[in-house]
Order: sequence, then structure tokens, then C-alpha cells
Amino acid sequence: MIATAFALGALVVGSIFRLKRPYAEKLMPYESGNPPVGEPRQRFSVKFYIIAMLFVVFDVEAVFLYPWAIVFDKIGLYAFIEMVIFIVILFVGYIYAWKKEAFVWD
Amino acid sequence: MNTILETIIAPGSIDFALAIGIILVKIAVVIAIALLHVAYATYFERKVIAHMQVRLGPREVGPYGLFQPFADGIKLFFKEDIIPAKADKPLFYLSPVIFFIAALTSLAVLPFFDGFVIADLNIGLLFLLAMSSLGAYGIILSGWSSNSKFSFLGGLRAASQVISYEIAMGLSLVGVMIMAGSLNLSDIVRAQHAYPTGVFVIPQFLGFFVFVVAAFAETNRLPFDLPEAESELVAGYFTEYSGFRFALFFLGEYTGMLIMSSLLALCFLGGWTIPRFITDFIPFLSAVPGIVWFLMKVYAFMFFYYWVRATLPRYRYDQLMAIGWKLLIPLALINILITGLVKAWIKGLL
Amino acid sequence: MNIELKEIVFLCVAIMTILPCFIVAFSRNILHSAFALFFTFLGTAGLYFFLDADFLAVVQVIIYIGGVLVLLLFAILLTRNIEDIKTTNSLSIKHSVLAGIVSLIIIGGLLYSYISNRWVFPLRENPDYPYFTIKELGDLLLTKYLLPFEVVSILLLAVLIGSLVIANRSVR
Repeated sequence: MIATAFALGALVVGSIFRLKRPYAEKLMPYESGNPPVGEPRQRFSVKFYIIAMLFVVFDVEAVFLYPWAIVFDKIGLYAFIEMVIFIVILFVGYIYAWKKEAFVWD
Repeated sequence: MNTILETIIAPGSIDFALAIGIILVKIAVVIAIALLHVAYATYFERKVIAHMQVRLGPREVGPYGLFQPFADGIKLFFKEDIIPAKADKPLFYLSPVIFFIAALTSLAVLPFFDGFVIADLNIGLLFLLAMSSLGAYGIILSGWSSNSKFSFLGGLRAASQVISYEIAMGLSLVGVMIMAGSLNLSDIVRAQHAYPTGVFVIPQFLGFFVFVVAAFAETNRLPFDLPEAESELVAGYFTEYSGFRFALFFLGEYTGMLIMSSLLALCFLGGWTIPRFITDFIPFLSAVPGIVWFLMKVYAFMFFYYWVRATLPRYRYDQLMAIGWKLLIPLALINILITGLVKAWIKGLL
Repeated sequence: MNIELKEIVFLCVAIMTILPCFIVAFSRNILHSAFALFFTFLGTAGLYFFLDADFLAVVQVIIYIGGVLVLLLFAILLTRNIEDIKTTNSLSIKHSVLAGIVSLIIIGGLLYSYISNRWVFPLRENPDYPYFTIKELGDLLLTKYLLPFEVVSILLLAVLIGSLVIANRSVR
């Protein structure tokens, strides 16, 4: 909350003091001094989307690992074997993704 | 958040105002100190790198240029706040704020020394991971909303880089969780002190390696600063930002470095404690207050950040992704399996 | 006095959860909708904190904001007609009526389950409620709910393979 107050407060105070002399050239998107060419928000490689998809899957896996790691002391070997099965099943998917070249950028 | 509330409520309604006052003062102190550290982190970075490159670095403002951070701050504060004509205004306004708040909020769960922590959450470690994923969101939105090619590409790159390395980072910490049996950062430090080696870096060297590499990538620092690679993307996602909004990104990035260094010191290097075999050997060292050890560890790693920046060239983007997905994640998984096996073996289960 | 503060914070969180929902539903710009969803997810995490489910709250932030929302943004940015993004989220009357009926059914179901169950709030006052939710979760996950747990891993595998197959097809 204080962090919010700090950031917003500084922005508000700043907006009172600082100079404002906007003109068209200044408001143009920066393209190393040249006038901008084409549409800036282009379509991008589907690879980014695949990465995000893989991230969600592995993130869920990691989230399942956290409670397991915490109770490891209490449960012991049985839980360890269960978790090994869990990881191995996901590792199959990981190898599949590797073979499908999901991690290769061209 | 509940923990904060409960620490407030616990003393009863008579001390209520006092308790709130103490909490607020604590928060203010932590933020003020952290921001001062962040300001001076930029100064040290410039000085250290300058000397590594046989230059002098800032030296005009104050003795040895010591007031340079303040001069920079004041300058940025009074600079014009340019908003590109075609930018998506609400998103452009808010994304640096989100980025900065996510970084500062993480400070709340860091124990600087024994008992000094704003919110002693049971799941402090996960809270930090969650906050670092919030930062990625600020980045991708700032990249999109500025309506510039450089920003857009930088934002995309940053977002995929951060989420890729977040998995490796989370998995590398699982080994620490197994050994400590807790997600509370203070508990993790105490567990390390009770452990024979005193620090987790020795049994968890694989996890440590993965964490260090992931920490560099998460904070978008060299050799993984592809999102803001100045030779191809100008400044990446904050190309179009100026004035204090730029400063917020800048502060957020350095706060992120500070948090990663602190996390490393807490999870792998023993936080505010020093290993017992050292204090047994040189007894008077145990009289040194914990915060000194903690800050020493944090600054050692910050120095390592600068050192790497001055030494290593930048990776290509495909190399970056290959390291994250093909090297770090399998390594982290192997580390988890080994840690589990060894722990089971120690307990006599195998 | 204590309760008042907690209630004020709760109200703020609740407002933060509900207000952006209107932006999500009514904004003409689909990216603004996604952005508002950020605050809704964050507010939901805050509500989990109030229910003393701290692990769930953090997981909500990690998975929904860190993962699903980024996925959603990528999906939006990947779609073809990015030029007219200002009007991508147009509302049609037919859809709104349908959505209204669905949400009424959901509200009814929630009200019914609330009335029929009578949970103890806050959960901390319930003596059976654990202090470390994450430990209890781990315990239950690996003993009582073992089968669902292993099924989840197979489900995740299926998701992984399925998404890769679909993505590969769309590339060609």
C-alpha cells in the first residue's frame, strides 16, 4: 500500500512541476530518427504462444511439487515414489516437446 | 496479508494504534532503506564497471561523485513525461506502476535479520515467486501500449524470457524446500543454521547454479538482457518512456536485483547467520550483528551481477531459450530427485 | 475497532475484485478487458487470503496472473486483425442475454450451497482448520487424494501433447 502511495504520489507531484512542451515530432514513436514505417503491432511467431502454453503446464507441475517438498519429512519413501511417478509422466511430455522442437527457435 | 492483520490485532485494541504505527514505521524504514540501496546500487554499478574498464565513472557531483544518484533522481523527476501520440494511455500510465509495486511488495517478506520482517508469511518464498511473475505482466503491457516496434518486441521477449526462467527458478528452490521443510524464509535460514554445513549452497550446489543463472535472466541482466538489448532494440520495452515513469522501471529493475540477491543470500547462503564451524573456529565473529552478514552476502552477489555484466557478452535469443528449457529445467529436476533420494537415505528409508 | 479495520480492507479487496469485472465485460478494447482481469485475479487472491487459504492465494497469483493471463495476452496479440483492436470486444444482445442467464444460474447455485451448508467463517475459528494449509494440503494430496493427484499428471501430459499438436498444425 505504501509502495502504491509512493509511486502514485511521486507521479502526481512530478506532473505538477515538470515542463510540458509536446509537439508532433516528440510524440512520434521512436525509430532511430526515421519516420515510423508500417504497423508496429505486428503478428509475431507462434513460438511465443507455445512457450506460454508450456509454461502454464510446468508451472502447475511446480505448484504440485511445493506441498510435496514441505511434507517430505513426514511422509517419506512412499510419497517420494509417488512423486517420482508424477515427475516421470511429465518428463515424457517434456521429451515429446523436445522432439517436436518446441524449444527450437528459427 | 492476514498475517499482517493478525500481528496488528494480537496486542488487543488498547495497543491497536501503537501497533499500526509500528508496522507503518517498519514499512517506511524498509522502503526508505531499500530505495537508498537501490539508488546507490546504480552508483556502485557505474563505479565498478568503470574501474573494470579502466575508467573513472561518475566523479563530478560531490566527493567521488557520491551524490550522483540524487542528481539523477532529481533530474528524472523534473523531466518531461512524454506520452507517444498513438499509445494506449491507461495501459501506458499504469504498467510502470505495476512493475514497481510488484518489486517493492516483495520486500515485505524478506527477513533482514532475526525477527525483522514486515510480514512473516508461512509461504514467503512462494510469495516472492508470485510477485516476480507480476512484474512480467507490467513489462508485456508497457511493451504493447507504447505503440513502438522496439517496445513491442522487447516486451514480448521479456515476457517469454521471464516465464521460461521462472519455472527453472521455482524448481531450483524445491531442493531448498525439501531440506528446510518450510516456505517461511526465516524458517529456511534457521534450518540452514541447524544444518551441519551451515549453508545450503554446499549440498544444493546444482540448485544454486540453476538459481543464479535464472536470477540473471529473471532480472533481465547481462548476459541475458535480450529484452533491452541496446544494439538492436534501443531500450526494449521502455524505449518510449521518459521522466519519472522511466525511473520507476529503472528502480523496479534494481529492486528486483536486490530481491534476487537477498533471496539467494536467504535460501542458499544462510541469511543473517554464519556457519557454525566458522564461529567455532573464530569465536568473536558471532558478536557481529546479523544484518552485517546479510548485507555482506547481498552485496557480494550484487558485485557479481556487475562483474558478469562487465565480462560476458550477450547471448542470442535462441541460445537463451535453449539454456532455459534444455539445460536448467532438467538440471533442476535432477537436483530435486537427488535431494529426495539423499534425504530418504539419511532418514534410513532406502 | 479491530474488526472494522479488517472489514475496511476486505471491502477494498472486494471492490477491487468486482469493479474491474465490469470493464472486462463492457470494454470495447479486448486488451483493456484482459488488463482489468489482472485486477480481478489479484482481488480473488486477496479474498483467498481472507479465507485463510494462503497457499491457494499465492497459487492463484502464480498460475492465473503469471501463466494464464500471459497466455491470454499472447493469444490476443497473436490474432490476425490486430489493427481494429479497439472494437474487438463488441457486445451483441443475444450473447448478453445468454451470459445473463448463465450467471444467474451460477449465483443461484452459490446461494443454495451457502444456505444449505452454513460454513463457519472465519475458518481460523474452526478448531479443525490447520494453521499451515500447505502442509495439510501436501499430506492429503499424497495419501487420501493420491489417485486424483496422479490423474492430474496424466491430464497435464495430455494438455502438453494436445497444445503442441494444435500449434504445429497451425504453423503449417
